[in-house]
Amino acid sequence: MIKLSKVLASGLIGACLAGAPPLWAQSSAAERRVELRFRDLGIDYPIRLRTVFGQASLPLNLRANELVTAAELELRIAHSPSLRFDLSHLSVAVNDQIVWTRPLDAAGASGKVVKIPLDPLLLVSRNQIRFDLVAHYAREGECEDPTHSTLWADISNDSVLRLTLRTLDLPPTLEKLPAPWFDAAERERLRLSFVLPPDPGLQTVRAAGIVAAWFGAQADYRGADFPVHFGLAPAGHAVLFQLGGTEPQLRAIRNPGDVDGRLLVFSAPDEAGLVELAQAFALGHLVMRGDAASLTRLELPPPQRAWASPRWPLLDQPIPLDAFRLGPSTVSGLAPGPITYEFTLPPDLYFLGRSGGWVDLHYRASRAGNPKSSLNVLLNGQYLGSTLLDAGGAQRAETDSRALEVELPPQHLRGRNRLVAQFEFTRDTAKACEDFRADTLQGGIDPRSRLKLARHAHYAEMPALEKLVNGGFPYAKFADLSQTAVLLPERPSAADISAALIVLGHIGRWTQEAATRVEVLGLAQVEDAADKDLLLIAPAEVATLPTAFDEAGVLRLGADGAELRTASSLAALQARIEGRPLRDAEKVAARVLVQSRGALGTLQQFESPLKRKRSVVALRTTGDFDPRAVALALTEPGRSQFIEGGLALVTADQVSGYRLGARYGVGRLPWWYALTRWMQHHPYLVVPLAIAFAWLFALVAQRLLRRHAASRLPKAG
Amino acid sequence: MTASQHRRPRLLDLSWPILIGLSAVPAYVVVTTPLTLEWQALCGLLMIAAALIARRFERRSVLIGLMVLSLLASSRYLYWRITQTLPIGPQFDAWDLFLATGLLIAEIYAYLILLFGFIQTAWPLGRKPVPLPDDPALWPTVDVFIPTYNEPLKVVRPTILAALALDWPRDKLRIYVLDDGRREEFRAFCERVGVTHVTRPDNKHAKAGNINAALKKTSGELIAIFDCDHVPTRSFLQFTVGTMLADPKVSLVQTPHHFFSPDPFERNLNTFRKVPNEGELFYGLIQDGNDFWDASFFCGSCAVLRRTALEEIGGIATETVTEDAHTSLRMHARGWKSAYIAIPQAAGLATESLSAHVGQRIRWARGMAQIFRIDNPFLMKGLKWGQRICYANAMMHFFYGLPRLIFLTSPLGYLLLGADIIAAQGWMVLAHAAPHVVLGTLTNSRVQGRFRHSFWSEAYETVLAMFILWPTLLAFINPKLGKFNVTAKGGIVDRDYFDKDIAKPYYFLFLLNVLGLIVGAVRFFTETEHADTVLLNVGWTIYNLLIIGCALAVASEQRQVRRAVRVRVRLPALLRRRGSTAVYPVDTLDVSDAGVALSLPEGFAAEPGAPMQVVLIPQRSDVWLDGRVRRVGHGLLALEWDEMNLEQQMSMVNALYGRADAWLKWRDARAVDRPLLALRDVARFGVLGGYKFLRWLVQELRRVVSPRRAAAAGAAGGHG
Repeated sequence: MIKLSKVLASGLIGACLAGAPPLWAQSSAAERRVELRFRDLGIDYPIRLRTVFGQASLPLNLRANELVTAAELELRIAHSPSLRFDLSHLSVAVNDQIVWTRPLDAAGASGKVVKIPLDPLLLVSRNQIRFDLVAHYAREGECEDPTHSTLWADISNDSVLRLTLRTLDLPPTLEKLPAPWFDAAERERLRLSFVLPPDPGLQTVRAAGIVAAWFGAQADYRGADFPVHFGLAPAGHAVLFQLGGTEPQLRAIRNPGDVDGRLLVFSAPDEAGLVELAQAFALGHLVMRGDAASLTRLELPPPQRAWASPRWPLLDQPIPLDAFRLGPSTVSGLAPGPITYEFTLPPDLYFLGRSGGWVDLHYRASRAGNPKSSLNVLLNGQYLGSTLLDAGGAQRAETDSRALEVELPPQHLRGRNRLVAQFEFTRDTAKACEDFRADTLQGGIDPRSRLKLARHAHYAEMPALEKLVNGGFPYAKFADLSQTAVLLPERPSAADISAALIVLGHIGRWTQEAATRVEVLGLAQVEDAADKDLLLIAPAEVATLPTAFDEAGVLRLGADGAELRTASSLAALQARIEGRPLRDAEKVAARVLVQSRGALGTLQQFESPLKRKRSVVALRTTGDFDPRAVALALTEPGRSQFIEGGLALVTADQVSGYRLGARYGVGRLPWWYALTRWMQHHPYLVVPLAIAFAWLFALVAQRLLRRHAASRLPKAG
Repeated sequence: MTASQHRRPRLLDLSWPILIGLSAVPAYVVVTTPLTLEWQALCGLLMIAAALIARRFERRSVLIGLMVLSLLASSRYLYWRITQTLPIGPQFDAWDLFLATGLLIAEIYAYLILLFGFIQTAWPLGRKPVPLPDDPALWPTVDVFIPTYNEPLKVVRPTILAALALDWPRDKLRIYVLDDGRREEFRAFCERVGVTHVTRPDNKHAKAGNINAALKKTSGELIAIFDCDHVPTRSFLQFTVGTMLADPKVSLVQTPHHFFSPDPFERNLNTFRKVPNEGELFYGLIQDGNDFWDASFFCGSCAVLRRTALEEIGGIATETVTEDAHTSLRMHARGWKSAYIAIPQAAGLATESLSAHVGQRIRWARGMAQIFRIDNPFLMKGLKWGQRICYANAMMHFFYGLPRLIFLTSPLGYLLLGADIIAAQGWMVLAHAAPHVVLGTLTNSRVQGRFRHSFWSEAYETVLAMFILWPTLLAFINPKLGKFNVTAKGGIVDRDYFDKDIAKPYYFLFLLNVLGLIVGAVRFFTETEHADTVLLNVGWTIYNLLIIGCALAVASEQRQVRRAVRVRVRLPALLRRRGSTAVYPVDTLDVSDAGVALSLPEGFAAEPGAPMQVVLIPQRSDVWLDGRVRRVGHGLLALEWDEMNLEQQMSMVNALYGRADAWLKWRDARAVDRPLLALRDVARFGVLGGYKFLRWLVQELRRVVSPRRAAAAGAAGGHG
């Protein structure tokens, strides 16, 4: 018997609140029908079932406040035509209950569609749909190779799961936060409306920002969109801020405009109260019982140090890998799944040597397989190294773990990394009739496996918008955003505020902490936030930047349009020496500017004109371009991957990034490294320095030597 | 006066650390900044260009700057080699790493030698002799020691006669022949000329023991030591003793060893008096540079020592086979000073055959390695830093055996064994190595050019590398291993032959490199990958072949035609027919123990065999020397001396060896070093040596294949 298990889309296994028993109260709302293709569930490739007993499973998570009323599975199956069809069959099980099983037949081998009705009662909030293939090819008396290549069946990832869902009319409650405003069962981007009073004060926006960052942290990799409405709540779930009442209070209420919607209401007598309420909410200081919670006392923790969030591992000591493991640490079978670790590293990690570090894997593996069995290690899809499993010698009992040290190339390390240890068990095919149990093939990674980072510093070459995309840098460095100020126009529009909330949500995704110390200011007050990293949201139509800021960026936006400042010839030459072809980037950017016909969103990063080593990200739009689209581009992997350098241009149909703009560095390099690095960027100075040094040295040495020579010779006379 | 003398060294002690401390940062930046191939190549070219310009300036500061620049290029190369090119990683095996480590050690060795060499020769002192006081009563008493063991009287006689002629008050000069051979012939001769014949009952500790024994029997304040074949000029003491009187802390005044006959290199390559010989770098430059650091050391002969200093350290050191340097080291450690006067004030015969020459170098190498172990200059107490570096360099110099061998075989590791010795792209290696090698060569040419031409060190060292490898290694492991051998002089090489014993290791190396060249050429044309690396290694192999060829050329000994060494020197002389009173003023063309060549006076006719009489340097001498005409014509009259009496011998020795300026002008005729020309010369000798060797090899092979034909060919060719 071969058990083939595949952990599919391990990213789905998240914290899903499968909570209290469902209330079967009928809602008046209409049912909604959804069609989920396997592809949408994170299955990027067809499900492949192999060997005499192939097994694969598909996780299915459902929102806690919805009930399945009808379900149907439409499978697109193809399988081997060379099987013994009297013995071969395919089964489907939902939560380990077999719901369907059919023998395979030659007629359907090249592909067929099977519709399987599912009992809706079988589906709860976290489900597993499993596919079992039992396949044989050998006739009576013949030997059978359990891994023979003819033993296969594929289930297309175009297969569909059709669900009819009904929203449960649950009483509003805070106890299941973040549900229902965010449900981890969702795989898609969170879209949560924020409702602010008309013409909101900036402190109200700040409160909203703190809450948005918190929701961004919950949504994590999914990304989050926070549309902003003034006054009235739209249909669906929303977060609402209002001034009034006697004390700061958080409530969960029904959306008066939508019976299925729930509102999370932050209310306080004044704006300061709103901010405190939001801070307490983000810190988890509110006691969430029933549908209301009041703020009694708020004590902010001291400001955080750089990279102190638990999100970032401590780098000055070996990092135990086990804390970052997804899925099991032991695998078995002929084609075992990967053992996966996901860890984040600060985006300003700067390796001083050629190595990024070492993975010190301690592994154990049974010797049942072929001596050619191996353990392969991959980082972010890049193969790093492998070892043969029998490398330890013959026949002795396998009781100790063995070590494999793999070097990490720094160029493959990112903000978020996925390290995969993949056992590849092979079977000795020369012995076809040998009794072989794939279960005896076992491999595991010890919890004491560690990641050791090489000599490094915290330093980033800026501008680097890609570090904002992938790591929220530089804002995320201090996870309570104590070094961050968001600057908005004097009378920000809903879209402006929304853009700010989306960016804060994106930063929250990276910090996973309460953004209690973020500041929100008007553009005119920029001097007050001189010693901070600034985030400017300023559509060119309504807001002009201080001149110094306007001059600092590579793109000048005004009411009259956009103007790209090209670098001087000397700067272009210097950039070429450093390996950045400026002119090419300028050409492409200029073309995009022309094609945009005035409707354009831009992200620019440059060093703050107010303080050195401080970064400014300016989100600006021209014409009627929606600033939200620019902010959202940060959260969509498909678009954000193009954002890089000092300038990103967002148009209706494309996102592009350019390594333009004056260079600056953030962080600190050891002086000896900074020296050679500077010299590396000015290689034409090496020889002049060498000659000048040799000459000066010679002049001084000559004097000293002459004096010494005089002392060696007898005095004249 | 004394206060300022005391303050000065203290100031210096602070100045150097400050200078080096300030240099650390810029030097670090230049050395460690990583550059791309293009920039590295450009920087290399610019540095070479700068050096080419700088070497045209005579100023000393420019020379020091050139040294610094060269060190920067070499440091940069070495830093890059150590940090970027070691074959460590899964794609390399232990064999790669082993070979790479060997090469790296050799390169580090070469780097240290370069660095120490620059320090050592930073400021040749050019010490002038200090005049003696006018009143001879103030002059010290001097004992002249002439140690001898088995050399024939014929060799020792001129030395004794020249010692007798030394300009020094008779009552303050005593001459001792320290005869370890205890020979009657010597005793009789000493008695006849009036010098003391000293013997001892045993021969313990050889020359060192011999001198120590004589020390106990003598009492002069100063001791002048001459090897039995080093003939002093009459002015020797006048030139040297003044320095001793001027500074009572000076324990030693050393002068160069000058050779008026060609050494085996010069004879076999025919470079006598054209290319500086092996010893000239040491006596012309290194000892003079050492003197700056108060580190010039005793070389066993042609030196004056202070008795009190010698007695303080218990006499000449006896633990090693280079007792001279060891003795100096100990005197320096006790706070004594030394001085070096780079004016040849004695001359002798160079070693005769290559094997004798090699034997002598083996002894030096062994002895230096022994000292390095017994009294390591870095660990020894009482030395100043300059002394430590100079002594260490003098000793480490003799460890070149292994590094030289590694350099000669490294490209073969890649070409023949396919080992990745340098884990880097070929062009990258070239871009880093070229400035290192070229600047080193240019700077050394500028520093040493008058005393050693470029690339000749390679040739000299290659010949000896194989032979000093074991002795130095053994001595380094245990100073007591190995045995003493005495340099034999006065033999005659009477036929052209290939010194097989000496050349044997080089056959093997040469053939191996030829094989490497062939394989490299095939690989270059057949392989698509790593053409640059193959090319680099092929180039290196060709260079190695030329150097090995040079060694083979040296190993093919030239026939030495004359029995007595002729000294080409122009001296005034008077010529007359025996019994005649007509005297002709003439000049000598060359002079030897056996005869003289004179410029033929106008209208002077003579038959071969006619008896003649000559006075050499009539201003100083009135002794007529008897001779017979051997050849006449072409403006030349060659005479053969008749048997001389003592007076005549004395006159001959005085005229030939005794003049104060006898050996001064030897260097003037020589061309200055031009590295490319030197390379061409070395390459030419390399090709010649390779050709001779291959011809010899073909003959040998023929002899093996068909003995009869080879015998005929051998008879026709003269020598087999």
